[in-house]
Amino acid sequence: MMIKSEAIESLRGLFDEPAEASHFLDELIRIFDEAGAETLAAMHATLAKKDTATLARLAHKLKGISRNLGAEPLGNRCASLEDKATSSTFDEVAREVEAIAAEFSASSSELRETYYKGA
Amino acid sequence: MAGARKARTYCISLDDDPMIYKIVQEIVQLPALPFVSGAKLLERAASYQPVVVFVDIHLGTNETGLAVLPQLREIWRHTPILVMTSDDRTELIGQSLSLGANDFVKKPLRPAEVRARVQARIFEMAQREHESCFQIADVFCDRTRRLVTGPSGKRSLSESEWQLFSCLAQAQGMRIAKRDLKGKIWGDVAVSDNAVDRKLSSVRQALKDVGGQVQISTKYGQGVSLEVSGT
Repeated sequence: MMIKSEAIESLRGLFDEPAEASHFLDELIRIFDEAGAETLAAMHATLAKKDTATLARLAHKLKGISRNLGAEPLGNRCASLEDKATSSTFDEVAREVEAIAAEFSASSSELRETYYKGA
Repeated sequence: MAGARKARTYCISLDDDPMIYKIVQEIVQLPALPFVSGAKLLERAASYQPVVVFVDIHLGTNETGLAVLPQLREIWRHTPILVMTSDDRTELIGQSLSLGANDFVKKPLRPAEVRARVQARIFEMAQREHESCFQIADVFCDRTRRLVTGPSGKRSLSESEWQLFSCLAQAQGMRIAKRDLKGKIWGDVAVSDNAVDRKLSSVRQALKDVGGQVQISTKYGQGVSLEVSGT
């Protein structure tokens, strides 16, 4: 499981009405997809420029976006890249970005399949 | 005089994560005005009067929320400011508090914790605001902002003008000799009578501008006092 259900339940708990909670979660999932894809694209562009300091900041941003929705493995990978981006070799960093891209895709699929209601 | 601030029915979120303001507004049950740049927020902050402000530390580019905290505190003296971050470094807590934040929350945000902290800080700041204000007749005085407000408007005083006014207010209508005023405000620093007179004149003008019943009365050789007209 890519998504920690407690995080989703905690967000659902903000609403009395299940329909409102679904609407809210759908909105957050859409933002996750859009902002996550944008940040990943920026990470790839930054990687091409070998700008590891910016890459660390982007990893930090994606970490936050992931953890809002309980995407822990993705958040943890981003945290690891944030820590190591400036000290690792270029190949290690590039591999980590690819792993993050794969994890993002898996997290997005699980969020869509399990929690997205199209509300 | 500054323009009227917008009504206090919202919070402000400074964060480059586009989900945060949506989550925050559900947690505190108030609309959130989202800002992603500290510089942009500073440009407009004076026209807002939010209930609570959330500030993220890492703002995506080279900006940090910590850099704007002192200015935000200066603008919103009685508004709770909560710093939020997913950065694990514990030194950031002390740094945030010393730069003007009232509290610190870790991301991902835990709704019950955030709500409890916001409520506690709002209560605390409201009490502090209440304690920092006093009233003489129809003139309201705010120590924190060094502001006097009367029927015709508001005037802010400089630090030394406020000290002078404050000394007179504490004397509750009794006359204070100019040399005693000098001692209370400037201590051992040599200050001419002319300089004191200029400060008194500025405070007198400020009280006149706000149009209240409070005025400064000077009796040659006896000293200065605050008087309430019609009493």
